[in-house]
Amino acid sequence: MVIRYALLALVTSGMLGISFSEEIKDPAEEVKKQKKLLLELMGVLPGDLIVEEGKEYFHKEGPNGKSCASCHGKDGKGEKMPLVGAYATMPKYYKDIDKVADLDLRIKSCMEKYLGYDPKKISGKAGRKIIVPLATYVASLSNGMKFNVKLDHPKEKEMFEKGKELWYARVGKMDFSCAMCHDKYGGYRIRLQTLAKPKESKVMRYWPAYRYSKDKMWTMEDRIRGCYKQIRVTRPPFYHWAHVALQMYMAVNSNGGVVEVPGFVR
Amino acid sequence: MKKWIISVAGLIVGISLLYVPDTAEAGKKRTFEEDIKQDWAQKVCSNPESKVPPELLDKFLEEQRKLIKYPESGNIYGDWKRGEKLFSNPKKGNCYACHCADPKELACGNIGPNLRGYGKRKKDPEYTYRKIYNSWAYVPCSVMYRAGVHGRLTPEEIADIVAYLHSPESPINK
Repeated sequence: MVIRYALLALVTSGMLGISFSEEIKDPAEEVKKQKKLLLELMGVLPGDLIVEEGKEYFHKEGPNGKSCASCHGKDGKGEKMPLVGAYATMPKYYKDIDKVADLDLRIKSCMEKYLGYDPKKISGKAGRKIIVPLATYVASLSNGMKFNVKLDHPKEKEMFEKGKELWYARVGKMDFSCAMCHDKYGGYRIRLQTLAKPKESKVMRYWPAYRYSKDKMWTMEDRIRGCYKQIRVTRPPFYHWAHVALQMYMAVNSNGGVVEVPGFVR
Repeated sequence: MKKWIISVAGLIVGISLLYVPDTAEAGKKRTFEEDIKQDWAQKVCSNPESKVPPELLDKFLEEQRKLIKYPESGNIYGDWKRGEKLFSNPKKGNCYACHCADPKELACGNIGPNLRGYGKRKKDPEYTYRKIYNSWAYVPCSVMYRAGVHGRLTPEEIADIVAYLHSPESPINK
């Protein structure tokens, strides 16, 4: 116990040390500064490297000898199932899996169904290592195009309604909802961090995004899990319907926004 | 020799005790589905306006008031120094997430009002206690979480925070 409290105190005092030296900064300016800094330091943005990594996976054969490119063509520009513009219409209902899927779930389903990956082997962290870069690459194929998600299929409508319900649902021991922080108090600060306004910024147009504070590429599923953790609610597992539902709600609110992936966020 | 063995065994037991997880972490893992189950009040508040429909307001307020419990001692004015720690601890009050208070703490949020000088505002400490215990008994559907209702803070801990907010000795009121 003593050791644990000592450690806690050490960590806390470290955090306080940082907080004293921090000032309230304009978050948009701070992002710009960090982007410039990284570009000067590395000569390339980390997110763009992840796109390249995803491109490699896209053309790499899976356990059964097929690659994404086998069906979708080189660089996703095939005649039959091109992926150019696909992300701007997601989440979407897919007949072959009889599910509404977001990027993460769609890619994972393809890997299992068509590339021969063992579901058990890609359901966890090992899967994320491939799926996140792939998602980033596939989304980037829609760059410059306008978000245009439609609710034609009944399952798409149902998913949208579920997402809207979750968006406004006050839950957990903190009584929060997505809407409280991101609609009503969007732009206010939790400690020094300014709360984003995902609907106003048409958030789906710039995710997956590179998070410079974590030096990691995140898909929206990672972001949603992060939010639930912060409001002390057990995170939905990856590929859970809640991710698809919330993204369906945010995607409809992102319609008209021009895709610019990978995003660059704190 | 025996003593030596006993002390080594004691040391091992002692060390292993350090690694016993908190009771909250022990046992079955909670699921997302369990955690998004709502109580009646949360359901009522889950709308875009985050407001209680007028016809339900009286019932809502009455129910929320009924949830407020007091320390066994009856004392709602605890120890301000303990309150100071609970106020800032991210795992307890985590009040700085939304409120500024002690001018020395710069990393404070602006979702709730600045609490600097709170003690000089002539508020009734019992009101402060009740508001922290269950903010929804005063502002239905407020963004301020119901610390006492959810058991994030015990009645005694809330009493300590009340003292931190009201005491003339508290850095908040200096």
